[in-house]
Amino acid sequence: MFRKKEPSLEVIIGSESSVTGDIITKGVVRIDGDITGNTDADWLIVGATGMVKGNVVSRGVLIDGRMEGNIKSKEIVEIKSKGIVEGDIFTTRLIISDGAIFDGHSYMQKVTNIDNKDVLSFEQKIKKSL
Amino acid sequence: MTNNAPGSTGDSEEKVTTVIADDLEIQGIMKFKSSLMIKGVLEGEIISEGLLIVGPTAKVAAKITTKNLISHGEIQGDVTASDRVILKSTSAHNGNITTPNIVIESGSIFNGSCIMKREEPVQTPDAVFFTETMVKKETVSEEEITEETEMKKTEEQKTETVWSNEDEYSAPKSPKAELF
Repeated sequence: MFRKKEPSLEVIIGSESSVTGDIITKGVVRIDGDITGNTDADWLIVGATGMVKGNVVSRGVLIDGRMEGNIKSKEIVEIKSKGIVEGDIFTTRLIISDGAIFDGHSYMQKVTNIDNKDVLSFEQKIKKSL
Repeated sequence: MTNNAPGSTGDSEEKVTTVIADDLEIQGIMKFKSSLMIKGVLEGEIISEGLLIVGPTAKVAAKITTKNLISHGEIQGDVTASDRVILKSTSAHNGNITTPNIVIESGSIFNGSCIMKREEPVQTPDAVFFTETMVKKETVSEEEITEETEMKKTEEQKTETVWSNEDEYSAPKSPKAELF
């Protein structure tokens, strides 16, 4: 059976740990401690005790702690209710839960007139024509 | 006048008093106190103390000052909300948002800066009271000042605090003075 590589939890920084330096990985990073440095990952999770100072480039980001720096995401940035983000966010989807703090600029790619409904109906038309 | 359009009233239980239908185009300054739902096109400025709902078909190009904002549609312009802003999944916002609380649902588009202003309300009676106590007190130590700021917070609870200089003051004139 061939299937896509599932992203694996590559890096965990525990709540009692502190790291200075950049993290570059193709997997999932979970930060519950302090990190001062940039992160380049597939998915980044910042726990409630986590504190990130630096920029983040990732496919998806979930923040429930503190983040100071810019976030560049291809897919989704989610800020949970305890999350605090100070910095700019470049993403396609953004979710901010009630209670979260976001101080910064949000840059989102504007989806033009194509939305999911149009895509689905287009696929159906193709199937019908086949 | 009931709004039966799906998803238009959102999660607000308040009855919307004014609705701008989707075929309306308005230019100007709108002021309202309770609630307003916009389904049409509006250009100008919106000033309110209540709830503003922007419907999914709406296109608003305005500077908005309100208490609550629930957006399902397009907004272009800066928003200042004193309570909260909710951007629903069909919303698109281009402009800055200044508010103490914000909720952004998946699917919404937000281009602009977000400033979470958490202003503490200025209590003018306390300032007057503070100056009165300054006149009464012979010596003002730093401990008293910090304790006074704590007093302002617990003032409404009317709790008696252990106050070292309690004996210095004369009979209390007001309920607030009793705390000292």
